[in-house]
Amino acid sequence: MSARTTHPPSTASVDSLGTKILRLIRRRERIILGVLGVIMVLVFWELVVVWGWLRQSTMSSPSIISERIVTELGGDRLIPSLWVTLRAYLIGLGIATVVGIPLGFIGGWYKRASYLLEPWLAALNATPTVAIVPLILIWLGIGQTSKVFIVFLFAVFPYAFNTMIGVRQSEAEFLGVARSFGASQSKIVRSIVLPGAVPYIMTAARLAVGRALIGVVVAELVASNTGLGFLISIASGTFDTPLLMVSVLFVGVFGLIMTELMKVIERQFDRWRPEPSS
Amino acid sequence: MQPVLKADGVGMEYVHPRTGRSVLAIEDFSVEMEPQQFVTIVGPSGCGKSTFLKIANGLLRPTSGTVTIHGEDVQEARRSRGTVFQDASLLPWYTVLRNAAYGLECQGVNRKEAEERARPVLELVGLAGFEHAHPHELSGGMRQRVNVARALTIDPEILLMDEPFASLDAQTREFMQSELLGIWSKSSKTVLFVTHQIDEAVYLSDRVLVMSARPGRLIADITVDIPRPRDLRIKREARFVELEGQVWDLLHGPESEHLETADGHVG
Repeated sequence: MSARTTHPPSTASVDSLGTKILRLIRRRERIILGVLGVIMVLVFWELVVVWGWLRQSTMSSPSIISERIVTELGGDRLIPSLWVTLRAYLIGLGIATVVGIPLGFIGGWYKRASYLLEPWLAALNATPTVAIVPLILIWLGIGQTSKVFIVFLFAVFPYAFNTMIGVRQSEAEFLGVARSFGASQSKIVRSIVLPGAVPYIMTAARLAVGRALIGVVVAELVASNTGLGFLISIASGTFDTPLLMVSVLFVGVFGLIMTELMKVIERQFDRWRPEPSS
Repeated sequence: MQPVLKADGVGMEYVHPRTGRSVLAIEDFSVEMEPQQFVTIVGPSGCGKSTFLKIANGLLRPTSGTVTIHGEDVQEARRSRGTVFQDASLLPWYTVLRNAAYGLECQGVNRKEAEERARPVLELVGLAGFEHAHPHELSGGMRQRVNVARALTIDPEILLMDEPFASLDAQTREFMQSELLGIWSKSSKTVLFVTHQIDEAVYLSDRVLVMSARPGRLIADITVDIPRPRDLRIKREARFVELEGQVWDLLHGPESEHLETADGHVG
């Protein structure tokens, strides 16, 4: 920096391309370093297998996996599995949203209802949902219904719990304003309670999106004969490491897409809030 | 002429639920307000001035006496009173326009009509062009303007204002005082204003009601005979300073000290 300011203008144009590139790199530092980190690990992994430090049959390698992605994408296993998983995931998550938010609202708005609901919500929320999965299998057997139900169970508690808290946090100050102007109960709910609970519901949605994905994979690992989770379980049983890696990769990418999608939706609800940067 | 607001022998007694001891917050408070009058209540904190405003606002029921607006009990008269709150209390998820329309919406007017009626009021309070801003984008003074607009939009008989400028810095507060007088003269509303700032009370009002500390009693009803329109500079004039001193003496006289020492013997 100081060197540039002391140079006469004529030499400044000589090193300007270099500084331009440097500045570009500095501005994109985050992306460049992130990509670099991924590449470094992949190269190291490849080399470790090539050098024979680790066995190819158990570790596989990036080049083998990428070849496998291409063949699997052309085959008739991966894509249908992906659709099956996506369907169960979306249905379960959808039902959890539609059931969880009203449940939380009732628990947060009506004092007596919250006394009734709270022990159940607290207990079920504290129990690892995975522990309930075998019970669901006894009740519903193996198949789409139990899968959807398991996804629902994983996702419904964050919705119910957060919505309940959000509704309870309604600002007394705003309620006073509404009552002073003579607002009806339904007007108070629509204009104050629900908008005030939106940040809590968005947090719930972010949690639910991740938990539902855990739910769908768990369900397919133990109680299904289709889907990405089932593919993982087959790959594991047949020591097909590349297939296992491909399936896990797709589950990961799937989760990433859902999380990013949530961020976009969240921003839609956030127009009235100050920018976090300012 | 029929008074706009009439308080008749209002008393407010709180009974402590466990000890059963009672505290008299307001005692025998009576006042009548003429149309388009600007009346201010001043008093030390805890004198019951905010309690009286809550009663006038229909949020509290007095233990004795009545408060009526145009002869109608305040509990019923919610269309007749518009309240300006101490904190702006704007809904952060609504725009300025929607917030200004909110009081009317609460009374059951549909959103579109409420917003149409809020538009000219926003212009009146000097917020034309800010209709689509959100509260977090406004300064403290501008938020209080929306607070005033929300109360004015319902076109009330009387405007109840509870220390609306208390949280503003001194300069903004003075500016808002003169702005309020401008808005008031154009809207020709009756105003009941509560404050603990003596200069604010004298500057704004036609009448200053002075209350004593617990129990809150009316100890003086001072007519401010300074002609309008009032420039902020009148705060330095002899008559203003004289009236200010008169209120100050009433609030800080030997009687109120005596009452403070007697505080422990209540009940």
